[in-house]
Amino acid sequence: MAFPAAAALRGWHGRRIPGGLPKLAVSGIVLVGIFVVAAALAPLVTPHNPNATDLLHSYTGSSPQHWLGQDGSGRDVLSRLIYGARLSLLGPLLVVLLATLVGVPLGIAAGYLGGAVDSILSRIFDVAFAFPPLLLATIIVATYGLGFQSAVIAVGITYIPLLGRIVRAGALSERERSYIQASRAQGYSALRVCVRHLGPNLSRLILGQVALYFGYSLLDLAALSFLGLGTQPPTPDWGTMLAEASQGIFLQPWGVLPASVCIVVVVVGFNLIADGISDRTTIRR
Amino acid sequence: MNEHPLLELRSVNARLGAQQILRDVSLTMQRGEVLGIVGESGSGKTMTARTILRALPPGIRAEGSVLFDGVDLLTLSHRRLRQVRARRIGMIFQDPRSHVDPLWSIGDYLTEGMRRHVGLSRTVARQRAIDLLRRVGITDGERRLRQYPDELSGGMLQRVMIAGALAGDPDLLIADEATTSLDVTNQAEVVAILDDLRRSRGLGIIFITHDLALAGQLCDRTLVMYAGQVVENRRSSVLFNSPQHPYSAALLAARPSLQERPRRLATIPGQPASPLDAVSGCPFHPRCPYATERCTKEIPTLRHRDDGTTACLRIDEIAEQLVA
Repeated sequence: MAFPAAAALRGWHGRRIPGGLPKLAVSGIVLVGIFVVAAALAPLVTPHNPNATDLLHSYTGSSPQHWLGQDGSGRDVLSRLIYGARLSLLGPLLVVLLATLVGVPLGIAAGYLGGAVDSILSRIFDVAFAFPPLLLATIIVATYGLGFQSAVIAVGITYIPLLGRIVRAGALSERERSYIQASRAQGYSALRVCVRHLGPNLSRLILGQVALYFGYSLLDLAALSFLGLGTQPPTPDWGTMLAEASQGIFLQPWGVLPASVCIVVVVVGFNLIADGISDRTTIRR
Repeated sequence: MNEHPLLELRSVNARLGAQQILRDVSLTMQRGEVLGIVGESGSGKTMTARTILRALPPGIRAEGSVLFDGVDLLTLSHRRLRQVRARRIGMIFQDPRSHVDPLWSIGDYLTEGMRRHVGLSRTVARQRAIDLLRRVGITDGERRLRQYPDELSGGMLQRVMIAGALAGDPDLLIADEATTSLDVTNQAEVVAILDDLRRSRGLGIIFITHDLALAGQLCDRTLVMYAGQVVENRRSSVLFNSPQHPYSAALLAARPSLQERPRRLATIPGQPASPLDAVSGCPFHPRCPYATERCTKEIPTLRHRDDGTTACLRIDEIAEQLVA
């Protein structure tokens, strides 16, 4: 049929994806998947306690017991990396969850209802958008206290207007489509039309953005942790590991590499997923 | 039964800013009646239909009254209006493909309304959906319910839309160019389905088309619209043999004929007037072979004539010359 894209869309409703996902997206899923599995099975796969110090062996290089060496306090880098993956992956997940739960309804409301609602919401988005996200997050963390929780909320808030604006644009064009008009004419309420028809039809747009934001917010959270505003030591996450390793950069220059490589790989993985989803989204238009 | 006509439009006007989209549109239809609305593109056929459901594009404001079973839809609360849209008036469109949510299976599409508006259970709704599909000539309903819009042909999808419009058991079905995008075979079948629905359950149908032959075949009465106005409203059997308006006559003369030898098709000179162009006097006068100076100044109103109405200033003088 002439509507392969419409059929492909259904994949996100758990039905079927003809032709499968794009190869790039699959490689992204595999990359990210490795980290997710490792993080989930952390107690089983880590060779050492991530917080056990061994000050006699601080800044020791790779050895048969410690594949990636030991950090400034003599803790096993590989174990900290694997345990650190937990918060480093959970953080972005919570960020995009918060951004989606708030940003999507606001965006749909602005785009679908239009008028005064749209004007007010769009101006709020614009103002929030005008702040550099990391600066805004720093202000929020500085005001409400340090730690993982406030870092997640702070970064999440900066992503709400980003997602809100994109969803608004999507809703704006989608609401003009005939099937939305037709469901109105069938007597469905605006809420129902949005939740049951408009939202699902924007799901690929939203998913593509969310995958992209996952990578970005991982960077933002790592940056906050690096600055000492996010996750607090000794709890491992990749941002704090980077910060700690940077203090010993003259003693062990490659110490920053493990955490950096993990961050880069996961961010790239999510970008690949986002690209794959966006490719599918654009076919339809 | 009820003393109210099923639907009555009383001098409905629709405006987009200063532009008049519909001018003084009035009509009456009874239960079980099929009313045709014909006219060129931009004549206001679709706008009339959308005014009835109060589903006008943003910015267009309608005045007058649309009495559906005695209740004015134009002043109804949004809640009550939704109930009317859900249960009492169904609508089908020219392009069925773009009017269904591509993410929903046929089963979801058909049962949503029944479960939501009628309160049927899932199993009952599915059974009813299968019955409705059989009604519109789809026998393998069980299988169709699991399919998606992109797996169905245009004709099949149009039948599904009709079934969907019937799900709330409406009294009125508005078919807006519902057969235009179908091939002739499917067209004939859809018309037969509509005709059957009217006969078997007294469904009132507004059949909007620019296919005069179809209108003549299906409709009890036909309304001819031009530039947002009703120019003639008459029983189809009479209208199609002795039109009482120069525009109706010109439309009928432009039909291709199977009987006569091939010749150049008759056309109506000039461009179809848009309600957006302000023309003084009778909107049809620039294209009318019978126009006089009076027609350029005076706006004709609908007047009774031979069991119908006609909006032409000179109809008494020229009636004899008009032939289908």
